[in-house]
Amino acid sequence: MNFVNKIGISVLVLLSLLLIPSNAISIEDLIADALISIKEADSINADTSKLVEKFNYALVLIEGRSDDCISKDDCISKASQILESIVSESKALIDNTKSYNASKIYANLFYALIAAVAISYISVALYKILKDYLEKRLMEMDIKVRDEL
Amino acid sequence: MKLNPIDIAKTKLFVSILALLLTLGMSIVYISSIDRDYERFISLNTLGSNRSVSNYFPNDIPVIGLGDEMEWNIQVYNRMGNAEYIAVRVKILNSTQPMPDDKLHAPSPVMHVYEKRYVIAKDQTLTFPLQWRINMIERDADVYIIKQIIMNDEIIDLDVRSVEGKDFRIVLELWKFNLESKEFEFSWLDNSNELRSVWNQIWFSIKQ
Repeated sequence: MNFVNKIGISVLVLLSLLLIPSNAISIEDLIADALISIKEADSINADTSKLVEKFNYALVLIEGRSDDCISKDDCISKASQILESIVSESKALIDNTKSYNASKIYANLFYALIAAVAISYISVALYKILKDYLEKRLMEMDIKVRDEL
Repeated sequence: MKLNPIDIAKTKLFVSILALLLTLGMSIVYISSIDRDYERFISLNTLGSNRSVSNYFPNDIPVIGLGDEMEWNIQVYNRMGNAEYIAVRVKILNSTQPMPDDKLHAPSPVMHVYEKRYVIAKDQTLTFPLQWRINMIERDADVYIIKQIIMNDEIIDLDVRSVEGKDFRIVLELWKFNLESKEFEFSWLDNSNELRSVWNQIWFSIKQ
């Protein structure tokens, strides 16, 4: 085999390696990525129940227990799409939950401030009413000399 | 503008109460916003047909015959603080085969015959049915050999032997997916860095 033939075969081998689809590797990675993204959403107390539901459906497809696909490759392809969508939906869920949590904290602080001002005002008003009442009672008292025994 | 002594006293009182209430309110908001630490675990329960710890076997007697249908429910509760990807692995053992080791947190070395994988959301309980029956038994003198079972409509060939068909057991092991190794593992560290593992077993014998 001459040098040109060797190079030609090497190029063909390299091209064939590049053209082989890598489904087998990616599904495990996709499962891990989807799980990581759900765990990240869980860490900020997001409601991940719908994502978990989708994940379990993807597992059904991977195990070939679904009638929604026509072949194993079709099942894997559909499962991959679902797992990828979980990652992107999880990112959106994290953003929404973060802004919701922040607005909840600000709302709670605002209500606490309003309640504090209102309670303080009412307390001072009640204190004044009580004080005025006691003063009035004191002013209305008659001075009497105590009978000596 | 000059405030009279009564107004000054009222203002002081108002500011004092306001400061006290604000401090109290902020503390409550802060405390309610931080996550409290709690014990993290996953539990596995094997329940009978009516989802209680009874009715595992026909007539509630752990002696089963060919074709007797067992309708169990497997319940997994996730209190790990986030979603977990788990596998429940079913093993059929006789009395001499090693069961999972609670001290070493090692699984039974016997190969599982059936597996179910699920992701369980944080603080959720997953319940799934486990229907099974013995489909084929062989006998060699006084040794009974379970050759085939049907579990959730899946035909499973096996070879588990026991003298006089006594003391078989079905072992259910809970395996948790490890994101670093990307493999299921039988034991894991909890939040106090202690090794944990979860499994159940139920004994049964074969009708003579």
